[in-house]
Amino acid sequence: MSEDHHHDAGSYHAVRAKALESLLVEKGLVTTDAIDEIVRTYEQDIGPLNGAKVVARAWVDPDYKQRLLENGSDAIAELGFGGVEGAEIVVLENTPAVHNVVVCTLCSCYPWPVLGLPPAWYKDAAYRSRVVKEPRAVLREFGLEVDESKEVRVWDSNSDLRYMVLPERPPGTGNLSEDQLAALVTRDSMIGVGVPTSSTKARNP
Amino acid sequence: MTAIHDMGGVPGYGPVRPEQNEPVFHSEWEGRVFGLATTVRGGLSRRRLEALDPDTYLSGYYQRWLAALENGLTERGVLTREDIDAKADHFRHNPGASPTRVVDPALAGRVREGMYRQRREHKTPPGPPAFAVGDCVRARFIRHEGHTRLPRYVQGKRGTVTAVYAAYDLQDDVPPGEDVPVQQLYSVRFEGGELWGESAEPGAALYIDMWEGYLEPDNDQVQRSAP
Repeated sequence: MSEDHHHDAGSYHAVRAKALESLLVEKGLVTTDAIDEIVRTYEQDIGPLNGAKVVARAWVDPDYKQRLLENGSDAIAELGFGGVEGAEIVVLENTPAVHNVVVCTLCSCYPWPVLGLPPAWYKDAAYRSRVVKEPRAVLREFGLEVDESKEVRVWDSNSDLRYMVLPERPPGTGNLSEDQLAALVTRDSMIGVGVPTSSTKARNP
Repeated sequence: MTAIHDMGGVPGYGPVRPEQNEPVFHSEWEGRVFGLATTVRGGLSRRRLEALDPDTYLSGYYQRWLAALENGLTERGVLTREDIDAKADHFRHNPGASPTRVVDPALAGRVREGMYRQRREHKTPPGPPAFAVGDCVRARFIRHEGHTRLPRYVQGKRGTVTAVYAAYDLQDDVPPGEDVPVQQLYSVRFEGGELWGESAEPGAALYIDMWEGYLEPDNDQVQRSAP
């Protein structure tokens, strides 16, 4: 039961989408450049680089980290981020004893202002059905082995709250700047299906 | 209404397939559908997504957004299916043609600002919270005909309150004419073994947000702990 996300421009969906846009524009219900603006914003401006800056700030500034854990959205707004699907973001701290991972089993709720739009796998049946029941097995499919000594906490975002993971700072990064630290923070590490990279050279999802 | 969207713990969906260097939108039409669905009021809704047949629901994320958006617009009389079919035929026969173009830079600017606007939904609680952190609770069995945020996999299961959040509108469908109730929201922890029995992985727990009406006191626990 795989879900196919790849369709060319002449596909059924491409043609239906063009038809809907055209009719709605002709009726005066939407404008072309408003749609352009939305697409551009989520392709270029709002994405996981925002969340990475939040995480890096929390790693270097204990007071900020405390505010972030107490009131996620307010602390995130200090860095200028906020908006649709992010009015109330709860930040979950990974520790040597606890690994957090986020899912939305009923649909695809996700903290857009800090992570952007969710990847396809987050919205698909396999992740949504399985991570609540067998999180360690699912994390292994992402290449992440969580030590047996750690508890895995799965957060099902079923209300209007949105969850984001604050990953652990990698060891040996004490001499890195805040910007260099942000470059270690992957999208997957803020969902909880990955951990930050330990090298500034490679940026994974 | 089917329950295809209520996926927690449902077997049979196979391995997760992460895609390396995944684009935000895989095709141009996905971005257009995203923009339309988030802009046109009353088109897309969770109820309309959940009302899709299972094949359509599972056909892909923007595929189901498109289907639910079409259904919403036709059900509300904004567009007719005949209009959409005819226009789609036009684009099928003219693959190079673009949708009708109208621009309004001031409006586009307001739409952009709207994407950065915060909208908190805290409500005045109807009374003091019924539960406190540490309380043992049970998620009620509620066989809901309409939309609900109480997934099947926690229904009837026992958990522990771990946080008392603010009060919010209940998101479930209510009978016509009834007001949407404001309820206290909690975070509740369920142990893996309680949810999945012997097939649970060791050292794993589930946290989920519960409106107060989803919960009842865990009386077994109360009896056990009574002197």
